[in-house]
Amino acid sequence: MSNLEQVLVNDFKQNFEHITKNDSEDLTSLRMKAIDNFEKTGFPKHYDELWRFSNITEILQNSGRIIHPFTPPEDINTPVKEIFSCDVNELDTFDLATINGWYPFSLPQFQRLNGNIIIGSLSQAFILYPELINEHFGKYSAIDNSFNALNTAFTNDGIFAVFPENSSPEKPLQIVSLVSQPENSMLQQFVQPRNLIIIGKNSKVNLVLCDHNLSPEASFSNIVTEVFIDENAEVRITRLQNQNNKSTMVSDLSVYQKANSKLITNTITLNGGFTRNNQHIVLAGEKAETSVFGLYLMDRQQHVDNTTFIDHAFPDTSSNELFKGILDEQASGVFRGRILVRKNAQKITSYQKNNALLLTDEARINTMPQLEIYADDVKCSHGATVGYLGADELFYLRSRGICEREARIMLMNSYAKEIIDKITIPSLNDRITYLVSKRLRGELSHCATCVLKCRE
Amino acid sequence: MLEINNLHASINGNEILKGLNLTVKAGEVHAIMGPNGSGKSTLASVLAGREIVEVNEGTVLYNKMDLLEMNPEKRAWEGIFLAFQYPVEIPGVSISNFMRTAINEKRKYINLEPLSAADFIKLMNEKKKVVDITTQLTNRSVNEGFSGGEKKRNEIFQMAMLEPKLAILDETDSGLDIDALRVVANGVNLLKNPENSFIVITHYQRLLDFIVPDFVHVLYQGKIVKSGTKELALELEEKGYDWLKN
Repeated sequence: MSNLEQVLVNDFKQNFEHITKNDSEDLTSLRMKAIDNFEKTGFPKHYDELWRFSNITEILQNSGRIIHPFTPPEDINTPVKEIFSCDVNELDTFDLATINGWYPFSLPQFQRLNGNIIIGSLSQAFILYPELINEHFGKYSAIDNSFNALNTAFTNDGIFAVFPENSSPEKPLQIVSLVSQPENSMLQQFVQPRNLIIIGKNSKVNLVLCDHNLSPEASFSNIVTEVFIDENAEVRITRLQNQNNKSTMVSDLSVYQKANSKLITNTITLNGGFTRNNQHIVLAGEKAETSVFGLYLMDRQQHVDNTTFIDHAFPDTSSNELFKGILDEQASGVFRGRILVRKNAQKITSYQKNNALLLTDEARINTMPQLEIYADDVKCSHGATVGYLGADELFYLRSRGICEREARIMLMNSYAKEIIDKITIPSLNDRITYLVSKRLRGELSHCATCVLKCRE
Repeated sequence: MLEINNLHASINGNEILKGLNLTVKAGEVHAIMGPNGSGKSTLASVLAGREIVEVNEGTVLYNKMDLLEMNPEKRAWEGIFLAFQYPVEIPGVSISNFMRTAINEKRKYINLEPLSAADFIKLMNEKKKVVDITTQLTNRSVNEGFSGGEKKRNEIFQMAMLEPKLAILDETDSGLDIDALRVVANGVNLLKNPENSFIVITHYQRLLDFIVPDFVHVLYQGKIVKSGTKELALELEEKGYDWLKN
């Protein structure tokens, strides 16, 4: 066991009382199981198949001293609005931010939207809604994965939201995970936000999940968001990631879909030092449909890894997956798409595609489709393309007087547009189009024009 | 306006143009005809600045500037326009955004303020009439899913928008039915004035019924082997190219 692994396990044991103070018995035993798992497996090794091309061990070992914080950072007492304000143009959202995973003190512990939608602090939900917690918490994000296990063991706080049956709030719920790292601190904080969203039957819900750093310092975050979607509900999740170049983030989105439900996720990675996105979607009822889209734009030595796992656990379910990426300079990317069709899950359709555009000879992409099919009435396809900007298209634009740089940006924007256009909230689509365009021009610093306007 | 002297050019090491000479003055329309593989499209590519073509020898002066030293965008800003034989599809870029960027880049080059949105729309509407192109088409992505005729019409529309001094039409007539041909030719005739010149590359005399050339040249094996007036085109139509090959 490495030093850091030992430190974290010891931290858990020494702070056991504090960590479990709001827990039900079930929750405490889940945490103990999780820390046991972590103690056994430790962090992923470079030879673990699922991490082969994303060498997180190296980052963890070179990070200096990392600690899991048990108390909120000092800025948690400041009203969040004073630290940042959301700048998504005309995007009228119900927005909430957590700082290092903590629900802000300045807000009421629970707020009600449209009368019966409950949104609030996860740690308070442990006390107030133990039945819902026992039913859903830790049920969708598998703790056999060491990062999920660690997050589950240590969960302090995060966002808890319950949309009862037939909820269709007009406004999207926007959850912003802010990472605040004290300046010049010798101790790097291991930030582990946790969100749980429960969506009732026949509901229509839009979620926007943003990840952002408040400071330019190196940071490490391990985010887990669990979403339960009940029958006949329709959910759209847009993830927007704009982290600084020294950030390391492992972000897990685990969704459980009941019959006739529809899910569309869109993961937009604009910036980040090392970003690993896990998506684990279980289609747990007939006629459940899921669409998983993503766009990543990386440069310098940035690394992004989209690892998805779609589990067709029931017959007559469908999935459609499309990721596109642009990798510049020495950036590297990984796409791993696992699709599992279980034995009795007949009449499945499943499409998967990852397309990457490499702008230099040094940029790299590793694409790994992984289809495991145990049923026979199945329609599945997968594909991957790796390409360069088209010389003919570039020449066509230049011959009309569009200079090379502009022409390249135009072609990259058009390449990204296919994914952005999957976002059907017009104001969010506009804003992301704008951000992507800025990013492609190299004008998007992680702070200057991100979705959030941090006060300096 | 354009002086080509002893031009030798090759693609992937194969010499295609082998000592071509051509002079085009302002206000003139030159037709270049010739059998397949004679180097017509290579000439168009050299003039527009396509990198795949390597110039081995010779000079090209355009308004007293060394054209071969200029990159494609600078050539466009200086008034050169190539109507492509095979216009490429660019999904996700709308024609209006494309044209607006192109026009404003040119204006930047000649130290003019960018065109306002209103002025741009006015210009678009005016030029759309020239080639009888619909708003439905200009709202779409560049050439995406266009028919052959629509693509060619779009080329002429772009030409009208950019108002070039020297336009090179590379087999713009190929694949067009007679009505589309008339629309394209009509566009060219409307743009023609004593200040600008056209090089019309074509296989068939047919187009020249609509765009009347001042000179007709026959390109064969990388050289101009015969030049004449529009009557030469009729003679070619009648006799083919074989009589010129010796």
